[in-house]
Amino acid sequence: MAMINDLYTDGIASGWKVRDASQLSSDTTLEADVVIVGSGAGGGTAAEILTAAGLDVLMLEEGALYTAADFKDMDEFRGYGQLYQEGAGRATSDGAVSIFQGRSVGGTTTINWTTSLRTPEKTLQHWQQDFAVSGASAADMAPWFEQMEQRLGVAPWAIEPNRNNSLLRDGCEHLGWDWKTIPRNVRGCWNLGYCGLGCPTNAKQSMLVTTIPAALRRGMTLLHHARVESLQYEKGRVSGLRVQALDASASKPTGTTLTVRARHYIVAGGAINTPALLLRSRTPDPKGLIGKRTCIHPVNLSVARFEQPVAGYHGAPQSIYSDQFLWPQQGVGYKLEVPPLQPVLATGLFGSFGAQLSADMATLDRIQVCLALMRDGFSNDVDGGQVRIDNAGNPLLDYDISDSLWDGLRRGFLSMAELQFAAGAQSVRPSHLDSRDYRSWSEAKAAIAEFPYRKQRVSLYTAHLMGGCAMGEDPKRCVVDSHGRHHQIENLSIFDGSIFPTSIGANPQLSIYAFIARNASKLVETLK
Amino acid sequence: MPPNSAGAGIDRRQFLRLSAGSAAALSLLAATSQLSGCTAAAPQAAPGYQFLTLDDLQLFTALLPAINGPALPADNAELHVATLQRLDLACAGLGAPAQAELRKLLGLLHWAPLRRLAAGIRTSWAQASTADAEAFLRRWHNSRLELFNAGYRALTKLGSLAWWSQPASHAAAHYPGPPAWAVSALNS
Repeated sequence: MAMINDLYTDGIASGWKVRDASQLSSDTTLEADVVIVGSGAGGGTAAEILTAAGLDVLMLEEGALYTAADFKDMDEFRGYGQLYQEGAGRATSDGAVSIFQGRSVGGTTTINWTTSLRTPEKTLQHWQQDFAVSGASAADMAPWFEQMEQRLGVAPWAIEPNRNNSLLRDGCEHLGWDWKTIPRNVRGCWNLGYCGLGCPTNAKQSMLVTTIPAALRRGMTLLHHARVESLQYEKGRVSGLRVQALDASASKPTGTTLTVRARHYIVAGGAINTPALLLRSRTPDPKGLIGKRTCIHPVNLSVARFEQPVAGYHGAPQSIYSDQFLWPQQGVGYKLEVPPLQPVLATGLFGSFGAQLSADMATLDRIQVCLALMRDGFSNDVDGGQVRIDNAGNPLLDYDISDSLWDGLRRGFLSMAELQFAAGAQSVRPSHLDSRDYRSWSEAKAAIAEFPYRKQRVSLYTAHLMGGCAMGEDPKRCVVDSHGRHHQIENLSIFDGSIFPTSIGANPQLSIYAFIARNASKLVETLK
Repeated sequence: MPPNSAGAGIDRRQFLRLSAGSAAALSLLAATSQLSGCTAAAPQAAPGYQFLTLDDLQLFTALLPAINGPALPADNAELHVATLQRLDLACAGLGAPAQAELRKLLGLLHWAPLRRLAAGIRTSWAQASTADAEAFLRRWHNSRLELFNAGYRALTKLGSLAWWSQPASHAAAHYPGPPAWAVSALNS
């Protein structure tokens, strides 16, 4: 009854050029007008715009191609293993912050939770003032946001939020705090709650089902299982890409090496893999800026137990947020949201083991979880981390947490506990190894004040990678110009979240879509 | 030995850093040479496994019940193997740097002097009881040393993923799985 149209099976049958590099057995050279490295929010958006202008585009993706047909089981183990960087096991170099980042055709858009918010006006102003980003005021950007919102079906969630989200709203209501309904990039959503494991109904308007199919219809070639090892330079320009074919599991090189030549090169591998690729390639970087100021919206969480079922594993994962604390007079601001609560995702939040973990998990259906997303990168004492590479060229992200950032995380714990008790929680446990279930707001408040704030004591996560190749007009401070063109290399653009000079202060996908739509449209003018 | 002196007998500066995350890690600065017999590169994975060695399988056989508690059925051999295999797949999916760090952590836990001093396990892992394994986890959970906390997080993350990702665990979490109507509609 509910056959979900498998876009790719039909598309490939009708002649789409989708190629699997693991199947290639001899070294070869590929040519195109433009090559795009990466198929996420940046690469996908650029592909549609460039092919619409009649350009011959080649898209490279190191991950595999999985489609709705693969997502029907809504199974966490399958989803994390298939669709995430390092099987969802990626972390900062010291292991203190877990990193959720996509790795398949569609990139993180295939596994994100669909929250689609515009770049806050204050963030745009900050970039204009501190990084000389030009042509990116709220008025300049509005048409690009509108264009991408229309393209991807972005609209405030019109169905009643699931209880995990409605309790966030209730707590805010009781306290007189700001809250809003989240716009989501979905069409015909079944309200299932498994966005993070790949959308089984094609409702999520990810790059996998929107811009990439559109580009394929216009003749783009998509080559997956293809890892770009390096950009090669000659006479101050990119002269080619060296690409390794990966085996069927998309983990080990098969030994087949491809060379790619194009007029223009777009790197869109995300804010960890893009800086790492540029560093591996010894990209000219006179001021040593590549990989610096990598922002991650560090997230801490708070687990509340309610008497009545919450069932946070079902229903749209994110539909309510609060910006009550996003722009404080002093210190780091944070946004309040909730995560989905399937079992594996929940285990890490409790911090417990053994009999206690068994007991905690037995209450999975009654927990509500808040998260506080820190707006990092806006001050000298909270200026992000650094992407570097090891001897083999693998990316590593170093991320230190300053006293100011710890202070933000501490205030985040306080806000979340206050909100959860206001919403009627029986108990609240901040996600910290020294924590336990607190029975009242005053008890929680006292405990949170006394926690040691050190790495590994606090459970920290990120799903938002931004920066490392900052945009702006000053080459002494920025890697690319205000439209993503590299300051030193004329035929190289960076079209992903790594161009943001700070974090966004909102879930970044719509910011990436809008900026890349703007930048790719500008690029088209110069390539025609 | 009280938990907070868990590093006694080891020069703390010998530990450069311990990284966990998905997996884990212990970078030993000066102690690298001491450990070179037990952290040799690319140890042999056990038959049928990609990352875990026979020693690792014994270690996790001791740790899995201690990590997951009574929700993990004790006497189900098939389930036990399935859990170890999921743990192995999770390790195999990590990037090379995280795998190297995890290998160092496991090497530390296999080396008898450090296993006794740092983990407080006096027997081999094959002989360790669930109570021993719980005491070890408690010690690393409570430790003031960041690297032991990191080891605790890495081991419990892997061990809990391996069990709570299985449909057999759903009843213990009162988790109904994906909405039945949707599963039926999608697979019809």
